[in-house]
Amino acid sequence: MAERATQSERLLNTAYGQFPVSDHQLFVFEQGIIGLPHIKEYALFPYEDSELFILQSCQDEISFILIPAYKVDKILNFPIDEETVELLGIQQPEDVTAFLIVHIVEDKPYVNAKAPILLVPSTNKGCQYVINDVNFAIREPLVMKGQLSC
Amino acid sequence: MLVLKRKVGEVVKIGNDIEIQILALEGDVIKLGFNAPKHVQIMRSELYDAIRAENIQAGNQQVEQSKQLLSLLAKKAPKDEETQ
Repeated sequence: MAERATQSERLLNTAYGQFPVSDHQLFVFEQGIIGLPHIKEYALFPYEDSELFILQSCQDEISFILIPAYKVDKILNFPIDEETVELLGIQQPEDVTAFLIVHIVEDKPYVNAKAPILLVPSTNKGCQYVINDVNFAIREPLVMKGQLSC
Repeated sequence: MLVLKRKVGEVVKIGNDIEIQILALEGDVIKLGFNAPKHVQIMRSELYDAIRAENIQAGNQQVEQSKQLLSLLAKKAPKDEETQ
């Protein structure tokens, strides 16, 4: 696959070091992430050679560890409301990728299944989407697909 | 805090484009309807507070802080296209 032209590459300082970012890695969060409404722009990086990604704020120290929802051992099938479809400019279901925020508590990884991060590469937009379903918890132990739980 | 009395079916307007309608009274439960621009997220405040707290903790940590997480990563299956 050919790399997309990176005309406006810039360097971003992160907790993981300094990385060049190109436009296709940048996502605008019009609503911000819940509790952090002032941060409107994030950059997405793959974390080394892993299943994880880093969503780094372009304006401060905040960064999230993300895992693609389909890697998580739980059927994560949820409808996205019309407002969000319009907000993110989603044309078809394949346009959007859902990620879960990984949160480490007492050295154990958990995911926020209730409020995934939705990213749409075709529009470079993202949001934190709250699933209206009591079966999804804000803090669930992370179990990856094909892996025995610890 | 501004206090208004409203009847079922009546509407309160916030700014130019946010509307809250009193839909029904069911015992001690009030059913509300909201109309707001798409960028305005509407949710129960308990949920907002819980997600906010989780986000702020999660947003201030790094992968390296968890040995458990690193060991999960180490178990990653190798990708076919990477073997040459």
